[in-house]
Amino acid sequence: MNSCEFYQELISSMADGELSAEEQAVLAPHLEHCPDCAALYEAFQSISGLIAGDLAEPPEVLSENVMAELRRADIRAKSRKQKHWKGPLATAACLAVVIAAAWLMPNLFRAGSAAPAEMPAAASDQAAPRAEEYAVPAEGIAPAPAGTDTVSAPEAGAQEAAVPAESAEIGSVDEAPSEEPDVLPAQFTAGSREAAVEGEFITLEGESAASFAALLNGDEAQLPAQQEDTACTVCYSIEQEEYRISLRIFGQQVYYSLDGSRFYLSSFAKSDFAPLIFPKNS
Amino acid sequence: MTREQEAMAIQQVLDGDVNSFEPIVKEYEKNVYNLALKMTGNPEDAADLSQEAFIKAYNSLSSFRGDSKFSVWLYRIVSNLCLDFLRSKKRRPTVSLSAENEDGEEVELEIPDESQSPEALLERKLTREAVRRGLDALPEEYRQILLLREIQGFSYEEIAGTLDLETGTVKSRIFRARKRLCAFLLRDGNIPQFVSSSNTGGGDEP
Repeated sequence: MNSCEFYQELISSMADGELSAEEQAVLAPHLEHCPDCAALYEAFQSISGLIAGDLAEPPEVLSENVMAELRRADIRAKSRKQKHWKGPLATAACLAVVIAAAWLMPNLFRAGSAAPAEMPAAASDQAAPRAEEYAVPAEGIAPAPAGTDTVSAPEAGAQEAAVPAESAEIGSVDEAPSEEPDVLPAQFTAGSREAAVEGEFITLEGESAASFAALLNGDEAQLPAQQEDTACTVCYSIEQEEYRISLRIFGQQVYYSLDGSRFYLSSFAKSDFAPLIFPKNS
Repeated sequence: MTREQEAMAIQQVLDGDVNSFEPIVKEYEKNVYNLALKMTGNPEDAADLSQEAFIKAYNSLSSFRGDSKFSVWLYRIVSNLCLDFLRSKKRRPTVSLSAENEDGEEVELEIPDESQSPEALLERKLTREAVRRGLDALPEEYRQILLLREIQGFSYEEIAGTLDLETGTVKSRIFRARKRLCAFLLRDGNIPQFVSSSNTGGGDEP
């Protein structure tokens, strides 16, 4: 075979279709006379076919895992940019948060009896009219025990705006039923039952998402703590034109985001929040 | 997915739409996974490395210039991740790509047994399994370059771009990878114990 050394590399190139015309002219006559090299060419081709024909199917969850991971990272990255978002920080803070809390944690409201005096987020003047519109019972808002972690630390502005009296004022709005914490449009609870569950995302579409958007049509809001180990953050990005809510419930962190017609939610423990999202049907 | 659709999806990802990355993942997951699988020989490692590669591709997408094919750029990431993984795992000792003579010149590695002709190779019924074992016994760098050719169907020029090599070097490395594989296949089955004890030594000489 040593005498054929020169030709062997050409044979490899030929198997790859990378032979130049000159090389072809050199190799072709040799192949006709050298059975070893002709066999080598066939062997190379045979091996190529065996490798290329031996493809396995990737795990079905591969793309799902990749996308779930990327979405989580995307949400984390965007939530870190909150401080760059436009809009007065505390505008409609209590409003949006209270609404979200009312939807998501009605059981907490029923059980809640503590005074709202320590509620950190505050309603600004702009928020007040909307707060009247969507107010919830004051006793529904349980103050967070000291040391409760929050999903994302409230910004300084929110802290400064946290005036207990204002929180109490929100609580005093009386249009909401005192025992029924439901401030949701009917379709939100009923229609959301149709939400598609896709992997780690629950998707609300159409009216449910639209009504959610309408209700949250404010700037950004934060509720650092609702109850023990529970926190809620609601943000609206003017630039991104989307809402993001993050909730931490009993140590689990869940995310919501709303873009256009889709409101989706991801979670590390879907079963934990599902009943909170759809209390009417559970 | 056409190249135009691909370019559009890439642009949308760069504009902040994470969901536009999904069709890209679906388009390439099979080849990415198989490249990783053949590099590592282990389905679980291959799945992990594939996932890592896609995430890395997503995060460094802004460095993709578009002057080469996206697939070339992507497989370079996969390929390098696999190499790093294998090296860190030290599954097998690193083997130099070629033997050197006393002058420091590269020396072709021979198919060892002169009595074993390519015809003998053809007569032997080659199976996927045997080829799989043969690939696994190759030094990583040989395996990498051969797989870029055989699985991804890259041209020598594309491989050269992927691995930062001269086209001539690609050509000769692929050839040498094939020769080693042939040498392995010729021995495989006849003296398996010899193979299993010698494939870490880097030499093909018995």
